[in-house]
Amino acid sequence: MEIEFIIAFKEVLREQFVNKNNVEIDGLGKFEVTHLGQHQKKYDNGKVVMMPPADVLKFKSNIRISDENRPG
Amino acid sequence: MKIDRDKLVELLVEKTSMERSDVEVQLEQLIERILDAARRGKTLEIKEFGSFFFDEDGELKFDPSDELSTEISYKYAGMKPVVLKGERDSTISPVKQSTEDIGSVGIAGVTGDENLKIDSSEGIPAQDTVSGQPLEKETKPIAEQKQTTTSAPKKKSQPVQRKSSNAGVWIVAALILIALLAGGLFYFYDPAPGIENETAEETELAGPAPDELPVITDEQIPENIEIPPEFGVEQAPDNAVNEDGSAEGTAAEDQEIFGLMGTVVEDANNGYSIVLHSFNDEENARAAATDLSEQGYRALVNSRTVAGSPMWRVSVGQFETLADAQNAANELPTPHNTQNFIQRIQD
Repeated sequence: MEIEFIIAFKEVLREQFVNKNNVEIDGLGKFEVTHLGQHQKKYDNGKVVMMPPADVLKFKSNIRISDENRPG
Repeated sequence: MKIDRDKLVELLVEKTSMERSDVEVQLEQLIERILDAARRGKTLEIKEFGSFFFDEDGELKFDPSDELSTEISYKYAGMKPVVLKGERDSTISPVKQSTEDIGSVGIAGVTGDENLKIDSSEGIPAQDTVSGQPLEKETKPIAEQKQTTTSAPKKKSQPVQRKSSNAGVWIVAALILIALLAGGLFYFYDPAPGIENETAEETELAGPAPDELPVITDEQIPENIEIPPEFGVEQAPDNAVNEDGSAEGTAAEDQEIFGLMGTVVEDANNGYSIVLHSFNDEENARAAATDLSEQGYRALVNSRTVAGSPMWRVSVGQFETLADAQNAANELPTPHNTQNFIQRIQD
């Protein structure tokens, strides 16, 4: 695997993520950029925190490792 | 917009100088390496992009790097959670709370997977601990807050109260002690007796008043009986008369004006003299004066009215001051040195 490809792979995906584009790679999974709006978060102890908005990257994959192939 | 595998290959071809087939092969090799490493319990990390690994449930996960997360959410960079209401219930265990914080705060800005749980025993490499750092950052402050809200304030307040109460007791005790000492000093120290003593001493130093001198009347003194003089200083006589003879009235040229011995000097009659005898008869007085003159003294005979009756006093010496007269009286022979008193010769 060439280093040039790795560098290009990172740059292409980062450009797509910044542009809020979802990237789905067959055989690996799906990258989604999701926006989380500002919201309040209340803890069990009564503490209330105002969470700032953020764009987060979520990854979903249908690939699951079987118990036989699990390490250790 | 959705980018599928074909679109991704096109973009990679555009990005690189590789052929499409080569890009597809390289992409397939990358996927195989990711899965192979994950199957072996290891994490494949692409620097400044993220890490692929299998979680404990066997699902393939991706943990974006900090650089990638920041770049994706660049619009909101620097915004931090704001605490609207502080912690009130201290009975909640910190473990439960920290678990909740993991998904919402620690991972929300990175992966968005709230169910992500990391088990280090399964060989999750160090890259996962990067995503776990927010967990520690979130849990530690909560634990510290609980310690400060539950135990720390009570421990701090108790010593402060004890210190203040002890200090107050000591201050009150010191004030009471000072008040008792001051009261004791005022009680035992009374300036009035001192003043009385001073006045008494003054009266003693001044000696008896002239009015208090014993008064000798004619009835009490028989004729031709010598009356011993009294100690003390008598007031100026009412009418002092020099009864000396004319020969004695002139002072010798070599004689001092004041003195015990010699002849009487009229210029010295404004001084003091030592009274040795008192007679109610003039002749006896002059006889005594003659006797003293023969002994070399300056003898004077003065008349005084005592209780309405004339008295004749025989004195010796003429002194300018009362002190000189007193000193000379002390040097007289016995019994005259003790039985005498000093009077002013005339006004």
